[in-house]
Amino acid sequence: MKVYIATDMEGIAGIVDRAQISPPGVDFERGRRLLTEEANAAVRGALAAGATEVVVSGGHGGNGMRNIIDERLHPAAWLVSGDTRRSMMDGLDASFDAAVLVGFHTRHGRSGVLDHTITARDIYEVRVAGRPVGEIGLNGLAAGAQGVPVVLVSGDDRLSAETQEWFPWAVPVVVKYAIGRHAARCMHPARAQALIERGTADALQRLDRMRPLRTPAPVAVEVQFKRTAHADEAERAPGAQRQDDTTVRTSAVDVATALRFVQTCIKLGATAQNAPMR
Amino acid sequence: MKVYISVDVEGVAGIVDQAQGSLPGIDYARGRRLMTQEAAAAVRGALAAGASDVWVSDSHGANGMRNILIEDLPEDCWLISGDTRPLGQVEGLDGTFAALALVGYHTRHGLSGVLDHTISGRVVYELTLNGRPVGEVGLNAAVAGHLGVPVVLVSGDHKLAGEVAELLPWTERITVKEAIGRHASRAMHPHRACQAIEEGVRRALGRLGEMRPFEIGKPVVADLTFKYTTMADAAARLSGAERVRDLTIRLAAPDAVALYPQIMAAIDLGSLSMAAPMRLGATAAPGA
Repeated sequence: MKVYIATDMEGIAGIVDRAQISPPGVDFERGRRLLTEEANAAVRGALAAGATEVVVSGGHGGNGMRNIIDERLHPAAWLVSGDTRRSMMDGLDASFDAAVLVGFHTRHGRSGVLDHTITARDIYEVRVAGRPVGEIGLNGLAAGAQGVPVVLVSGDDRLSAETQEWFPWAVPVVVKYAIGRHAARCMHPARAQALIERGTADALQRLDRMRPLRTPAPVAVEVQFKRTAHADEAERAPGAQRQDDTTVRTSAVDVATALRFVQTCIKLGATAQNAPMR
Repeated sequence: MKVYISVDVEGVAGIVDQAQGSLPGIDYARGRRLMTQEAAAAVRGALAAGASDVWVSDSHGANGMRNILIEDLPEDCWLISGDTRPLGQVEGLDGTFAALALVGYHTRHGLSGVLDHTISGRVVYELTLNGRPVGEVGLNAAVAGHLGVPVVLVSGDHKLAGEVAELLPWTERITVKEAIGRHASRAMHPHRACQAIEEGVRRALGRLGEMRPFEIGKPVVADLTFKYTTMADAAARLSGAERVRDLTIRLAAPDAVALYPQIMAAIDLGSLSMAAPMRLGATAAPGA
């Protein structure tokens, strides 16, 4: 059994602020240690359920997607690290049996700890087939395109509602209760890790109930930005049409193409910020 | 039994200066560790007394209310961390809690003690509730009191013990240092302070029958006096605020829980007025 564990940072127990998840934040070193320990808990759970190959992806954008501490990672796991990649799930293919999402957060605009969709600075909303989607949905669609089900999602209590909407079959693990975007009541890390370990093992033992997330082709995609300048830049993406002042859209032949379009739009939109003298 | 432990830093043994309690202070890393250890001691005391659910609140404003090192707390507790909280230092407290413990607290602004202040040392001169001057202990006690929760223990310096004796005579008082001035004290060793807090919490929870919720009366009127008129100008824009004196605005609410977010909003607005450059003609922020 092959298991892919995609990790993010905002949904880790103890994390409530950017200063804990990106350098030069004063607590970045603590944050990445907590992240690595939750990743390890998922690895242990996967191994306990009989996984023969476990790949961990450091998917958090801070520090160039190099947040997991390699030498503290469970020795049985492979680590996908670094940032010139297409997604948070590089290397996930049809040979995997399950995807596990650890440390995730709600989509932009939905109250929860550090809610955002890919980039908090630029993106207002991403919609696939008319449905607003955050990072768990996007990763679930990427896995689903390969026939791989999402079996567990960990994060705050608000994320567990989003998990229910996208993956009603998956195990939701709540490690903190959001009070606001930058405040939460957090479970102790050791207890959060125990829940993730047990939850992963349980989820993998019930693979027969898990389903890959499928979306029929063609796939309508809309990327709505916070500023018109972002949309001006993103409109140059292959196949893009300007839907309205802040939104670009396309109709993609399949999910993989749709997700690549989203990434392209976001990268191009970000160039609006880089232009000098703005 | 549910126990809520709200932890500030100024009253922790060993702390006498802002450089130990906030960034980029040279001793912040030590200060937060001492704070975490006193929090952990209080949790152990609560568990020893039979608490089944213990919430710790990181109640110190520095670093976005993210000072306590969660990984160094006992496993059997929750930590409230981060800074967008309607009920601030007692966020999440409700009538299901049997007790509130205030660890590492300090005297109200103007009452000599280590790092005396009321919520913001830079902004607030005085806060009264129904005519009674209160600091953070009194304000939190009033909120808890409305919810029917008694303050069972307060730890800090010996001046704070005096403030507590006057306000909450039934409350267990733990003195971990004697104030010499605002920035000096004779402090107990942290190990002994932690021991005193652990034992104090256990003892206090053992005599819950003697504890009483603090009653400030209803409705509650707060008079908030600022250090500068510009702050009162800014805070007076809060809907419902009445400018009663040049430095003072008045806020009113049916009870302390409803009043609390208004007080915080008024202080935030007052604080913002200081952000405008060149207004005060000072290069450094006045006060602490």
